[in-house]
Amino acid sequence: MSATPEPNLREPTPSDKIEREPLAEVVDAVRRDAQRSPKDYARETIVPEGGE
Amino acid sequence: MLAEVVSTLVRTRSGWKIKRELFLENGGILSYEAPGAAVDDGLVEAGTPECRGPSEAILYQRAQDALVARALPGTVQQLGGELTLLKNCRDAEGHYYGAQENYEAEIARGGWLFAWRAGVVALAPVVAISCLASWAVLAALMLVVLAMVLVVTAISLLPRLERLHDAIHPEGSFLRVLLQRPLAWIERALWEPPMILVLALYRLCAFRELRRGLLPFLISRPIITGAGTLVDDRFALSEKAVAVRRISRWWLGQRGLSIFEPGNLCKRLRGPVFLDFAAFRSLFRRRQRLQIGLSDSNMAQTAEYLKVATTCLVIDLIEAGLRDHPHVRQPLHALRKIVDGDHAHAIALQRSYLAAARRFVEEAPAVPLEVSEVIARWSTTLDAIEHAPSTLIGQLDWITKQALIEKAGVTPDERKKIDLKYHELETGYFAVLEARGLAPILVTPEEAQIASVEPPSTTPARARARLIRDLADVAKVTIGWDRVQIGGRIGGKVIRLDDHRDTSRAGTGTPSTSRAKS
Repeated sequence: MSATPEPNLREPTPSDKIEREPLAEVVDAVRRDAQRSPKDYARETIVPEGGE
Repeated sequence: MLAEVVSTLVRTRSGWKIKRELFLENGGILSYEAPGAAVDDGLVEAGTPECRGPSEAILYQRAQDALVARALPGTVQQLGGELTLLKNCRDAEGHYYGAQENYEAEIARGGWLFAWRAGVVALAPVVAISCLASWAVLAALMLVVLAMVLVVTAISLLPRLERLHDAIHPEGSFLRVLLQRPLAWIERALWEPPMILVLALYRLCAFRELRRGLLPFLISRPIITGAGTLVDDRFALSEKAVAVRRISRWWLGQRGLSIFEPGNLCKRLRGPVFLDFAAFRSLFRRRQRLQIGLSDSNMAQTAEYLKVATTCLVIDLIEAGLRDHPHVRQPLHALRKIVDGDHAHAIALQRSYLAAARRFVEEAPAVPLEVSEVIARWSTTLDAIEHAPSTLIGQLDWITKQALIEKAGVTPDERKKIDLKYHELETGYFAVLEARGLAPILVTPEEAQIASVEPPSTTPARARARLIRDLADVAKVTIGWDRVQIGGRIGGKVIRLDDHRDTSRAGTGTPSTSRAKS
């Protein structure tokens, strides 16, 4: 028998459903972070020669 | 440096040095892909080991993600500064790269299989001539390089000519920069003619029914599997789809992405150049690797699972004889419209395949339980896209990313940052959603940790992983996907991993062996 675990492919439970408040908090955090040097971020993540 | 740190976390062994490959204890791979002189502008590629079915594929994909993420702090400690890894397919300038999917499937049947094999035999002499020409040109180039080394060394030794030396040697890689383009031209001139014939043979014979049956499925699949991207601040459904230019390429040097990529078959035809005749022989096998280029890197586990699971199922349907699949008159035009917002067409196409899958399951004498689960999940996801897309935040990437961009991005630059940083492993915006319990987890961190050191049990990955462990004390070992070489090329021993392939397929509905790359 393999020692590899069977992945736990369960159905999303009610707790997996999106809760509005935590999502709003994440959106706020994303908004704040996205305002920090967005141009620099885009420039630093360019793959000039690595693309196909 | 990342590879060095990974080697402290799991057992590893080098693959082919020229490709900077590092095989992992679970049979997967990490490699660094950089063209020619652009050594610092490459990509980290991570490939899962060969898996049998979608559950295994997503388990090992998550194990790879977790492993490279675990190696980041150690890498930062060694290098200093800041370092993050993005698992995506498109950067801010529109360069594309990243995910590919590979499925083992029948290359052809009956007369078309005979035609494929006869075509490979007929092309063998053309390939051999190209091989000989390559070696002759390489030998001549070696002489030229030797002469150049002598000249450059002489220039370096003369202090008064230092300025001249700096002028021709601006980035410390004079020979590499100078030779890169001519070498690429020579290689193309020698290999393009036989490869045009090989690609024509591929389009005529290889995966003929499968490509025809899969095409409408693949162009509509981004409605579930698309990662979403901003093109000039306009939202598109899929990162890769915006780069697609053709269904299958006509010659190797063509720019733009193809939906089906025959690259692995072309590489094996070049096997004899590297004295790998077994790779050439493997082209005669009935079952081959179907490579799909139109594939996004998913952050959401639900999307990633559905991507592999539904594709495996549709491949099985076509191999079982599905012929009444939908047809699309202008597939590339339809793909562009779907990516730009024609969701109704995509959903209709997906529903057509879903209905075929349901009929298939009803008529089949026995199908694995996972197939029924896939169909149920596929159906509820399509319903939700149509009627309540916001319930899929955290489950489908394009819906999640679009929501974040619309709610949190004000300026085009901020919106683009959200588009990109969504894909950071561990620290990106999707990772934040996952950490807050806003995205369903199908593979737990503990399961991923175990899978980073244990291979799948019924694929060649098991033999590869065992050899990586057993040959830990042997100095000269080169690991590959198809073989392991112990000792030198001449006089060394080769273990073919194909000999360890479990060829049993438990009837219809069994998911295909697949391998993912991101």
